[in-house]
Amino acid sequence: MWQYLLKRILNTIIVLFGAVTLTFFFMHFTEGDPATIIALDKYGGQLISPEAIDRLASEEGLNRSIFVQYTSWLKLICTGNFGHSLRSGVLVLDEIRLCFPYTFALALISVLITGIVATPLGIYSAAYQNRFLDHITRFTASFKVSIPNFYLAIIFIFIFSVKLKLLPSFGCDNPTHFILPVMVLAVSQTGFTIRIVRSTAVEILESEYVQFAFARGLSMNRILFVHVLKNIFIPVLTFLSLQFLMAIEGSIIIETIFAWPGIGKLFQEAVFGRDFTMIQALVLFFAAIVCAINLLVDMVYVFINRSISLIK
Amino acid sequence: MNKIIVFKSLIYKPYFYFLLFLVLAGINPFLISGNNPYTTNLSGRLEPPSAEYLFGTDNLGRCVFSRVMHGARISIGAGLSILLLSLLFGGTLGILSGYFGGWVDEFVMRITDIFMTVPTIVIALVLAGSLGPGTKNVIIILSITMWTGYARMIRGLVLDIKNRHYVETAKTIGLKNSYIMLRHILPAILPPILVMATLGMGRNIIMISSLSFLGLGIIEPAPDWGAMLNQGTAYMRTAPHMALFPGLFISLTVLSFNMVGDELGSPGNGSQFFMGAGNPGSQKGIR
Repeated sequence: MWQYLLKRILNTIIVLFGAVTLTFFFMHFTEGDPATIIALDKYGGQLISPEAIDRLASEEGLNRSIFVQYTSWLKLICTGNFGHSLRSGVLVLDEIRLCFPYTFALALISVLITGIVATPLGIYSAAYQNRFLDHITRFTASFKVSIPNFYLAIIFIFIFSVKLKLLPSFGCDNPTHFILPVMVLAVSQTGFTIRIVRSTAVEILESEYVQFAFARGLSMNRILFVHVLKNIFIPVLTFLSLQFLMAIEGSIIIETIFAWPGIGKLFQEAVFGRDFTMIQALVLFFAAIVCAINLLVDMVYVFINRSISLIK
Repeated sequence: MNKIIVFKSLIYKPYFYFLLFLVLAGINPFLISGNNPYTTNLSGRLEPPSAEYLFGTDNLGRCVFSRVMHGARISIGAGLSILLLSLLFGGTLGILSGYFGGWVDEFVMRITDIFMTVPTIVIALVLAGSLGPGTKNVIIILSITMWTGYARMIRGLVLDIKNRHYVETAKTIGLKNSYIMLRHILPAILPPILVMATLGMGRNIIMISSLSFLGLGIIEPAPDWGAMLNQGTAYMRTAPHMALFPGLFISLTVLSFNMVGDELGSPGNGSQFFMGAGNPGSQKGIR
């Protein structure tokens, strides 16, 4: 098992290294001189002079050859220091540390709500197949896959902020600001999660020990909430961890719409401002989250498998 | 014959006609809407839907309906270009890595690993930030980001096919690898690829409009649905129709592509043709 884990971790490091390399070279496809764009941003149109651009370029090392920049950036990562933002001058890591909790809270709350709503609905639609609830969930699931998050967000803003004037549509000052973005994320995940829970529950319901439980005359509710719920826990948790990743990914667009001060907005602004160090650090950060969650899920499975084989 | 069954079952589906309508709009938008999508009319700004302007007018007084219709050409056209490019590239690599295995496989799979670790939209944004907006750039950006999924899936299909008897036989009698791949493997995996491609169209359209929505894809004055949504958000309070209608078309289009894909891939209506068992390739094999 330890060998397997070691191999996985080694693989993760290779993939992260690849991601860093890839984004580095993708970013340098740029048309237009990055130093000019950043200087324009920093000093404004009037104050900008060729000397100022040159000074900025040499300060940030933007005038060196790509490979020199690449190796110095790699060295920087290895020291655990990600440099400072080209635009604001703040340490990149500090800024990410400041913004990430907002994104994390959004993703976590939405995934929790998804789990709480989807699990019972999925189990019920598995138990009572082709009834009303089953049809409804199937319909919403297939429908939701097709509505992009940003359109969902706009519809919600239209209904709840513009028409009903109930909820604020941007910023993050008090808990009511959470409602709309969380709702968008949760709604976008719930439909599909219900289908996954349903198909897992159907499998469990058809298994022999549940059939035996039926034969013993246990009530449907007892079977659903004791036998099925217990066994559905791990697969659903796995799926929800993937949904968590989707929520982090979705944050880029959601946060732009709701002016949410998380890493998604930070990333979008960095891309617009050609803030190279920030973009690179954030890409690495996104990739690291994905790798960490995948590794965690795999580890959980390894441990479960081991305990199963120990019982045998 | 099975092909006919599938297309017959599509004839009764409304979403199939919606797609036909969009293709028609894409070929000649003026057939459907008489207004020019670029003509501004500052005295008639932000007007609500009316008989002349079905979806109202936008902040420059342009007809939203005709802009949405012209947007069909961009969305479907760009989506199709991305699909073809990424399928060609990903498919070629997928077939090669599935068929040859070894270091080719290892190399391609490590690259797709990297692409799968970094969220698609993140890679797309990095590229969009450096290449800049524009229809051509969007096609390039999304082709670069989308090919990996196809490479993986097609590799999986090839792995399944390549151990079938007829392929082994073809190898034994000394046929060239390129011939086997083109004549024996490709026809066998074509049906699932078709399903994949239909579902991929939906994803492409969402990605295009996401980029445009963020202001990094297709930008004004081109009538792209995502860009129109982006503009519409600023006028949510005064003219919600500016955002609601383009978004509706994005959703309906993606929904239709997904439905057609499900229909092609679902078992029971001639899908033996589309998935696995009765594929044309396997019948050429020696039993």
